[in-house]
Amino acid sequence: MTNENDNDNENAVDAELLAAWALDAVDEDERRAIEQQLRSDPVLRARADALNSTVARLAVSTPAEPPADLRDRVLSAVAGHGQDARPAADGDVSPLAGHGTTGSSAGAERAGVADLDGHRARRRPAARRWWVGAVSAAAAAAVAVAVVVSQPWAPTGGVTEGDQLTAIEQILQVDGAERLESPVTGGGEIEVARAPSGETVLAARGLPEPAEGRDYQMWTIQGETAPRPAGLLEVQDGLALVRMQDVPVDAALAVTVEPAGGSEAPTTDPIVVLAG
Amino acid sequence: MTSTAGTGPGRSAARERDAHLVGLLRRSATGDQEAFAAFYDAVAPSAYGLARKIVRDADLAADVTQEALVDVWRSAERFDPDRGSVVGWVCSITHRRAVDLIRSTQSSRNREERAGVAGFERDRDDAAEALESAEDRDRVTECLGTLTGLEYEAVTQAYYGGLTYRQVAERLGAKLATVKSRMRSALQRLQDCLGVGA
Repeated sequence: MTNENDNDNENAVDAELLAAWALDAVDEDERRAIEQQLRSDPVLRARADALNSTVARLAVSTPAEPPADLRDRVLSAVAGHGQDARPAADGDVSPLAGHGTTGSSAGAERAGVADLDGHRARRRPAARRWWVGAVSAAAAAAVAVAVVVSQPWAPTGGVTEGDQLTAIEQILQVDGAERLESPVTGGGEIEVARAPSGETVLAARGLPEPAEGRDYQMWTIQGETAPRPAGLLEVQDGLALVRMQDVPVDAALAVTVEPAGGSEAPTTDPIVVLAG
Repeated sequence: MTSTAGTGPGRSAARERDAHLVGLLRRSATGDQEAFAAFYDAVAPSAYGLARKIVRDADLAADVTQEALVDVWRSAERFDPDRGSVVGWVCSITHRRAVDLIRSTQSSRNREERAGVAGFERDRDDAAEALESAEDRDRVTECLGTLTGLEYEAVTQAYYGGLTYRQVAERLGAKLATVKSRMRSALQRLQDCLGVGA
């Protein structure tokens, strides 16, 4: 125990904050910092597990009979969802404090909310909470987002992976550029490179054709503001390459499947979210 | 890892139940909806009770529980029994969902609650009312009773009230460092008292 305390002194997370974390009593930034550290610090992880076990005793001591219709609601909700074997975005915020989920639960967060939209709208006209939670990492002043999308490589010639590589590398040569990558729910992966100027390239590989009457639509999400449409993603042979300008560096990029032609606001949960 | 306190017939029954739930969860992770229905029946009262305790509204608590259990279904594969009990895991997901909900509607709630907060007094009845489970209730109440006044407030306002430690500090007029440290000492004391095995 003494040794563990000594080790803790070297860590960014002090033991007191870990207790507050176990009680879900820290703010988003602190939570993120702690959970990131838990992934790489087995000593801290063990202490966190012990704290969670204690807190769990507080949790399970308050059972109550759930409403009769809840069972059907839950079971029909899961009937429409497969398991989420692969999280959609590595850089995404982990919503679940719980032991055993830290670090890989981004996909789980987006599972339940869509099913509740209709339900909740009657009482709480809040925007889709998923979108807020997913990008609160980026919480920043709401600056007007002007996104200019061009697809210079499509639809005329067809994109190659070489085109993608070149476009990505061009951006990455800029000082301060960052690269993001994530698997896509439903198959494939998306890679993004963006420069501090906002110049951004998005490359998709292995994406299935959208269902008939559907399109892939891109969004930028900044802070807690509503997602802004950022154009359609046209896929040919699984590949797509898009150049955007003026994407704020603190904005997350997301893709949803929308009715053909796109929507003004997302109508489905994202299949991928990329956040710095 | 050994657990000395808190052992007894009740604990081993709990362990057996947990093993059963782990089995159902494993089957759920393969897409077995029947297993998940049985899992729901076993854990929903704990999840719903916790959600209700925190959001204090039956409809919203049902929403929170639904969200949490869909999360559970989706992430069933990731449950790690080495890290704690199944029900504890489900409750931690539920708690997070409930707290997210509270914080997204915080301003109205703050106003509503400030009226009811009388400074730095203990409010044992409130916590006691929540602890309705037969087996754990007495023990948890007893252990909460071993906390100092500030420890008790810090833990219950945070965990059952959904407040951050900053908000707790503000409410209690205490320093941030003090509140954090009381949370830590309170959990340590609860752990010792409850005999929580790893």
